[in-house]
Amino acid sequence: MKKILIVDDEAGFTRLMKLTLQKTGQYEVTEENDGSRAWETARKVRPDLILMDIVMPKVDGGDAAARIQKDPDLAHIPIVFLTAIVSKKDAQPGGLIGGFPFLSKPVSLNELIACIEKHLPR
Amino acid sequence: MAPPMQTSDPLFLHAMLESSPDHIYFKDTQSRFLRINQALAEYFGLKHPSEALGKTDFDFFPSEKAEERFQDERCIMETRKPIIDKIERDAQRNGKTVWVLTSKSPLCDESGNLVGTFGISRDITLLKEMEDALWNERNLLRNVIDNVPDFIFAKDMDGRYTLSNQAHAHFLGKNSPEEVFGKTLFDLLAPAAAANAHADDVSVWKSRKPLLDKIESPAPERWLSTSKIPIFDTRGEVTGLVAIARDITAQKRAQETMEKTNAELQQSREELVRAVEELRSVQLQLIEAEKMKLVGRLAAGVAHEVKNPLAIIGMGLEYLRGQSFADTNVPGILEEIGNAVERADSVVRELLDFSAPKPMNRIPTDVNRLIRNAFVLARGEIGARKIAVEVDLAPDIPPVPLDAMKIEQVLVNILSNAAHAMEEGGKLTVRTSTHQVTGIGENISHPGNLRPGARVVTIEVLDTGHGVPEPFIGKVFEPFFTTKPTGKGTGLGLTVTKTIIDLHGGTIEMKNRPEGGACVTIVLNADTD
Repeated sequence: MKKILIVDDEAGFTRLMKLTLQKTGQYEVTEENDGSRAWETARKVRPDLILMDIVMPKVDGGDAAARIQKDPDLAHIPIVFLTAIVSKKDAQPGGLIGGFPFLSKPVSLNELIACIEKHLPR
Repeated sequence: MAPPMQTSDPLFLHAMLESSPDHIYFKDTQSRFLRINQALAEYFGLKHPSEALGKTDFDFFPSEKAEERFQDERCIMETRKPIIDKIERDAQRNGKTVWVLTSKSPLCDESGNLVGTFGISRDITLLKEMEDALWNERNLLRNVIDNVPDFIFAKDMDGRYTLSNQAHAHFLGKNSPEEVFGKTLFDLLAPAAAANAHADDVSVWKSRKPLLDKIESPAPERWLSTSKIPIFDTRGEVTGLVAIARDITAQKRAQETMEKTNAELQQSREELVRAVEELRSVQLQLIEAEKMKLVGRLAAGVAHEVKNPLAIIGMGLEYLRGQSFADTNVPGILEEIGNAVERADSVVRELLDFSAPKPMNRIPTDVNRLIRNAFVLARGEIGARKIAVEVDLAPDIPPVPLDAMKIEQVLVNILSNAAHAMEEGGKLTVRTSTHQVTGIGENISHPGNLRPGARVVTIEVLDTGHGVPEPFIGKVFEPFFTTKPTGKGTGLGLTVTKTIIDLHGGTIEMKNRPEGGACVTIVLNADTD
């Protein structure tokens, strides 16, 4: 079972996402609602993929992702951004933001699973 | 029959002497009066002519005058030659000046021996005064003619100058009016100029009416204002013309300079007006840009605050979709909730697109190719309805500097809108053409950033759909205006479309067609500067 870490200050969203993903029986999901604790939680959980919100209080998703990327033990973990304020038209070629793949909220389950599966390490 | 009267007849001589108003006198060789007539006696202030006998001019005139006459008579007697019509000035004792015309001859007896002189003097004071007055008048006129700066001249019926003044002579390259007399225009001016002036002369002679203030250029870079007046003789026949001409070269140049200055001022004013218009346009764009920044910030905030709850609802729906419910209505309700989430998300997405900064990448592009691309992208909307498509793309369309992706988005929006307006089917026509703007209101309805002289490309999209209710036709480009059913349109599509066209400095307008349906006209500037 693949381990997914969801970092988002919207607790309702992370809880429902956790329930939905775990219901598929494919994923073990950990929630983190504080961006400043993302790196710490990632070190503890060692997820296979991180879903990261961008706009968060204290530390935003960009800084949190950068810190994780700088950690040699965590740098290999793929990070997918989840954002409410960026539309697909704003994305870079290849659907990236700052070099990371991203999903625009709200997101369908099919779209979410397709993206996770695409970026999970084989 | 009475015998012929003899000139020696004393009666005849007496009658002639006494009745003549002229002064008649006879003198001896010593210039002493032998006899004078009554008129001369009165002139001398004598009661009777006999009182003059034995006296001389020295008794009646100042000695200077008397001496002059005495010498004249000496000369007559010596030479035996008369003095005829000598004009003499007499100063009478009363101080009055009298002018006389005198003729004197030698007086001989029957044997031819010289016995004295005789003479006759006529008082010509009145004539002399008239002559002086006339001379003064002529002199004054001549002075005026010679000294005025205007050209004064007269001609006879052969076109020969009979009068010219100094200014006129100088204008013709002569030193004095005398050098002009007797010459014609053709002797003095270039042939074309002479022919023109001569035609005016002939016109004055024939019409017998003055020609006033004619502006002419008889020499290069010289301008005259000339008036010509016919001269009539006592029988009323035209005998020539008199003319006065003023050199208006300086005024003409000043006028030309003024006209040039006026034209330059007018041009400057137009440039200023254009600059003000452009400044106003830039100001509006800046205000618009500021507004858009605010809208952008607002949109980002709205997006964050709305899309996160939508994401929670969406994810909740995803979770519930896999569940089984005793109430069979639940799946349908979940579907409705899902549609509502999608609609709300769609509005927020378009709001983000609308407010996002729009960097332009304008390169010369084939508009016809863009239209064909747009048809491919909108084929889903068009193909889903029974719509006949007619495409009439002019082959001579010049490349237009534009952001191809954005204009393509515009075209897809308009084609999709047209398709939505023809749910029951219809005909969609797209035409392109090119022309040069001749004037706002003439071959283009409103200016945008287009100026007369600009080469423009026009795209027309015509449908046979329901059109736009007339009260709303002016609002179609306003944000959140839509004629589509609730949930079918966000009301931002045409606003984004207009913003893109505005950023290209072009124009877009929508009109209802008289035969039904709507027509969207886009005008883009094909000039690169």
